[in-house]
Amino acid sequence: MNGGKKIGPASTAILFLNLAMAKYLMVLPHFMVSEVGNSAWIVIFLKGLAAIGLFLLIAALYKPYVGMGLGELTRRALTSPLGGALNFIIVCVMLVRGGMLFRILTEALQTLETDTVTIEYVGLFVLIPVLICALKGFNANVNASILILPFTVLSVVIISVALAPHYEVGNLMPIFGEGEGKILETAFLRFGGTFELMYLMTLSRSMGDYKTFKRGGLIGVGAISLFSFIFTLIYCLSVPYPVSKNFFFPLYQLTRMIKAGSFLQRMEPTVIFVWTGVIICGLSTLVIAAAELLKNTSGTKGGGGFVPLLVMIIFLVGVLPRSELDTYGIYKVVVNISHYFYIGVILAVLLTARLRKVERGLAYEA
Amino acid sequence: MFRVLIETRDTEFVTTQICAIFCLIGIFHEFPAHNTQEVMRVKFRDLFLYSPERDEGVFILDEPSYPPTDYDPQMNEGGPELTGSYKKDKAAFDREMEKDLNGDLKIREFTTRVAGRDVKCAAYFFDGLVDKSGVNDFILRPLMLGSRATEIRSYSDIMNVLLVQSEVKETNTIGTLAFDINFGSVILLIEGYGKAISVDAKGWEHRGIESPEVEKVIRGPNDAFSEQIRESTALIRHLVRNKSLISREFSVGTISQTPVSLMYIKNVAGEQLVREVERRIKSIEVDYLFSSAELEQYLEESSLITLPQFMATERPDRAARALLLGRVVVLVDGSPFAIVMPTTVFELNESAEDHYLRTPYVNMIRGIRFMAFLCSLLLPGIYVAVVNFHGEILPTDMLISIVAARDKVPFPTIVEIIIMELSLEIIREAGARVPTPSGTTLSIVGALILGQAAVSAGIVSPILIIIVSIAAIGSFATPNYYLGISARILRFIYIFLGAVGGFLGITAGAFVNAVLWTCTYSVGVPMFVPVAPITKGGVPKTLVYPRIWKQDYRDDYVNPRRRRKQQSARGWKKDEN
Amino acid sequence: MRRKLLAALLAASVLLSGCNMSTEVNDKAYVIAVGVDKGSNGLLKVTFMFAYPSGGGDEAGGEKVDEKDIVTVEAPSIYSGMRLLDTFKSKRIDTNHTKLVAFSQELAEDRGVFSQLTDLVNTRGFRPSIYVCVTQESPSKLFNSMEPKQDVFIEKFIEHLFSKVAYNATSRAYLYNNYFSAVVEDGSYIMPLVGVTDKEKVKEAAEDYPYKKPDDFALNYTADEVPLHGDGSAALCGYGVFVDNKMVGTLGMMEGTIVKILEKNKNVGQFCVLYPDRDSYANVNLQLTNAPIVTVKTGDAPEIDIRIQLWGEFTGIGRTFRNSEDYESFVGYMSSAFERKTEELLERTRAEFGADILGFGDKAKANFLRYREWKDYNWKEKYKDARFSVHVEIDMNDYGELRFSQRK
Repeated sequence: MNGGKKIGPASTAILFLNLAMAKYLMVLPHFMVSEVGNSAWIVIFLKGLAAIGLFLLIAALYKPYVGMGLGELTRRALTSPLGGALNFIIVCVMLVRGGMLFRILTEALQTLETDTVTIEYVGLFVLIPVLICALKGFNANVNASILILPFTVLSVVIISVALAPHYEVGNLMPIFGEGEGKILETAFLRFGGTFELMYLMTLSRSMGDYKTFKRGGLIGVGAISLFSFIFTLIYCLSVPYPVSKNFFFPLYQLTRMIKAGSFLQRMEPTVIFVWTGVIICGLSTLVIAAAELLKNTSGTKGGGGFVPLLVMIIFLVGVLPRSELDTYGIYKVVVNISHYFYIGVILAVLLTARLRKVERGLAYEA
Repeated sequence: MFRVLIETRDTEFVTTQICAIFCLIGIFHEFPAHNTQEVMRVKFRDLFLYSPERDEGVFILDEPSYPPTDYDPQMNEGGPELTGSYKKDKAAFDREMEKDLNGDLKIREFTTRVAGRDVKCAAYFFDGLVDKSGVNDFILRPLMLGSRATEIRSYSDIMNVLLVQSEVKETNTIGTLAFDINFGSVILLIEGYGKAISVDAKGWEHRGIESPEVEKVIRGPNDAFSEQIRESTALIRHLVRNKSLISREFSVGTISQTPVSLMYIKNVAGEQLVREVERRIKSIEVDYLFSSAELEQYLEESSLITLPQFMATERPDRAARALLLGRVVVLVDGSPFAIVMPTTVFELNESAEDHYLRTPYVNMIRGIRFMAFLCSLLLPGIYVAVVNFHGEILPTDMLISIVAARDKVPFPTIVEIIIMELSLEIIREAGARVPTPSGTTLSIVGALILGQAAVSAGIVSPILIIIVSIAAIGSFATPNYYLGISARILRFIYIFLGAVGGFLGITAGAFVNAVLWTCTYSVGVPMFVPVAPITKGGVPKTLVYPRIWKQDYRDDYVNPRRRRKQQSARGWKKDEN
Repeated sequence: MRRKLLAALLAASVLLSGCNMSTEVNDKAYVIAVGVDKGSNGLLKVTFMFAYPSGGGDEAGGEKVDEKDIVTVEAPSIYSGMRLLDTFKSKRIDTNHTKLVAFSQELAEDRGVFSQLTDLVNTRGFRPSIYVCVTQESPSKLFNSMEPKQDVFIEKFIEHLFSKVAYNATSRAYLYNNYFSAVVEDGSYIMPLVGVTDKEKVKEAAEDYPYKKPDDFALNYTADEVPLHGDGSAALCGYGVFVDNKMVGTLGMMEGTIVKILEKNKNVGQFCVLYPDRDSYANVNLQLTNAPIVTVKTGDAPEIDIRIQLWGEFTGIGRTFRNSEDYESFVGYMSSAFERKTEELLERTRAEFGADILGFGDKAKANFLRYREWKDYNWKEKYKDARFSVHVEIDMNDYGELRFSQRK
């Protein structure tokens, strides 16, 4: 009745998916293939398991503080100036990562759209909805992504069915790809999903209680692991290894391979619908989370005022690299370093809070 | 700082322009919900100073607050009291009712006999508002003849013995008298009585109960609300037949005093919902209100969103069903449409007949309706996008025939489609205004312009006519009239977006549309409720209409007091085994 | 409010520049097929076949317009060819509807086609699921000879020529398959070979028909002697063999059939079986019962074992088995012929081409755990010492008999 301030587990899961989908569907399969070869699907599977374990651990640590928000917790645990500074740094990392993600995905969109459209122009179509969505707030974002999710799932299903004639088990062989050492290293020493987890914790004040947080998070982690596992498997099955390393946008290349008979001559443009939707959802959640952190840091009444500023910064960061390949390079570096940063921050904050016995503020009871 | 950032990359015009847009929107735009000014005032050191008092939860849109008005609602209430002197009171009441100006005000002066002496009397009424024979037979005849045949000992006997009407009351304020007389009462001023008597004698001419015009069904009842609020409430009460059906009466409009009836079922409708609707109705301060369509606009939350936020129905059975499902129904005198609130998008896509059809039929028809709505919303936009940006999606044969058809057309597709859409809208508007005899001419001319002539003149291509007509027919297939109009408006936006950004533009538009629509509330209930936000078990119920004996529960988003609707509705199945 | 308006106006002005970026469908010229031939001075002779928009929207119909428009330019690559073409074509060239890219045999033998394949896969205009083929004649002659008789449009003709509709469907015709093999198998692959029928050639071939080559189901034609009585129309007549990305030979019709079986195409097709006594024949319709089982043992010399299970029935009443001896001899005759033909093909790939053009490497990979080990094994060299064993089982039924009612 009252606009639904708190969201349930299903919506929490969707929020998680929301953030992860853009990255995991568009960028991750290629990343993994270029790291560990044709056994990327094993890595993703193991990574999924590791992420679930990690989530359970962090959820257990986070239990008393659900509904408090990471930004808030940071301040309380690490005292005001230090916590504030940390929040500020987190926002900066988020923005850099968001900007790179924006650039890569927009570049992919541009490839799909037409040869003549410029990257800035495509960016406008992504960022203006992001701006409106982020200004409308958290609930709007979750609701919109609920409406988009079925289409995303449908598109993955359609692609996987339509590609069935191309599946070649031989493409998965040799089964350990670039070696099992590399597989284990990539799967367990790089903490997948910490980025998303951090958002979830930042926005946790909109979730009801610990049960919601845990159930929603688990469903989200599980679903995204399953999704990216299926998708990477499809990619590895239909494209042989040394070739798959050269393809930048797996989804794009896979849809290009589909022959839809005489109904649609080409499938690629239809992917735009799903792709754009997923990107906008992901970016707007990122913006909302960053605004929430800034709000916690500065103590302003609403975080909405930060939104236009953040969107603009993402755009500017996105157009900074000279070329797409540059962007990939930077993004790879950022990703490879930032997950240590994230997991470090999360664990440090939670452990300090536990040790210092920080209590929930009265304002957040019930 | 940004300047430096921009210049590190080869500065392009578009980049700067886009930055400018964000700057303008971001820095100067004042969003009502978010205090931009405050954010701009945050100093760097504030980032490191924490004050929990200033922190007020996740940002959610606040309720808009309206400025206080200097409006004077005291226009009809109260007024001077009667003095007790017949002469003075009569003069005062004459003045109040503007006796000399109002032609339809009738005054009958006569004498009656009280306690053995003749006293002067005056009966006031509006011609046309009262039932004349009733006035003659049951007011004037008893007073003039009956008082002489029966012994009337005191003034109270007039009410107790003489006046046989069901609704008679004593009043001594002129304002109340004026109010009553406007509602078809006869006002009696009696010498020496001190008070006036108002006798209900309503009886104006009106339309009877007819069959519905808009929501026609094949299986199901065929009566509709009329302009009479009493008849309408009676129709609903007749269907619900329960003492817990409440019909609260309000009068809205300082001048018009339009009766508005708020109906709900006490043990079913959520308390909060009823209170909210009541609050909104009570806080309306207007001079006049004529129809439920106006009331709807006073009650809704977002007036600029194209999505209708309430459902209007002219069918008592539909209103009664809504009541029994925990909704609230608002009736307005003078308007044959009841407003059902809250409602959702999925309910707007239901037709009156859905509940009378068997499950497989409903599911098929609903699917078609949904497709029709999407077609009417998106099809022209998608066509423009395909033709301008994504020619590769079409099968080659089809593409070649489109190219062949378009080669003779001088305009770009966007101009072509706007010409067609506009002329279609003009014809549709004309069709709504045109008197019936000229209707045939209009349809012939319209068909000729839209069909044959435009193609042979080489202004539009034939395939475009198919697209435009499917979209137009799609908006007629949408059960809710407002939703149909909504699709017609948004279609133009999608055409524009398709022309400037292809599928990308359409998706961006659709996303913004989804954000705005899911943020729309109907009396506090989100419009997309069982789906976005998700409620437990709501999604499958929305996708597939369940069998009638499986619909055990009322929707939980209206917070009904009684959640279960039926229990083992098909008990006979168990008995058989 | 004024600033809001300004922002909206600015946004609209940027958005409207998008109209500039779009192109109407009728402002484009659609390439249906591209041919690449060897040109002078190291250039390529690039031939484009365009689709004419005709008939479609015309109510009158009238006489049939020639639907083809074939243009040839000399340029260093396909793309520069398109650029050159732009100078004298009034419409923008659009390759999104390309169905076929044909390389001339001369080019394939001389320079190879790998760089063109890479170009085509990685660009937006072409898509990986277009067809590629090698032509015996020059591409322009091939395109000119494409005369759709059964189809209304030329692109449907191309589609049908290679697609599953016809018996000679093969996944080897897709661009991505060839590209993948070219990258993964170190440049060994086969590509469909398309020729133009010729009256003279038919005459020569017909002189020996049908008793020249016994026991071969009347399919034993090499790629350049398919006896079609056409007067110059395009026809699929086998495969071109690429080793190290250069064409080194061809596979004929019977070999093509075996390739198809190894590709797990269920419908093998109609066969005319000539008896050993050569005075009678029977028509048999063959199908694959199971996908062929290929096992590869990777030792010093790889051992490749292939098991094929086929099922056949007579196509008409009139020919039945008189007794079990009759059945045994017929089936034995057929299966031994198939085995021999398969072995001959495999032996040819090993001895003559010295490369694994049929992609057994995919199976061999499974014997290794890591990619590096597989690379170190050096399949390409090892294949030259490969040993083959082929087993073909054929079950036959009379016409109309149920498939599982085994006679015995």
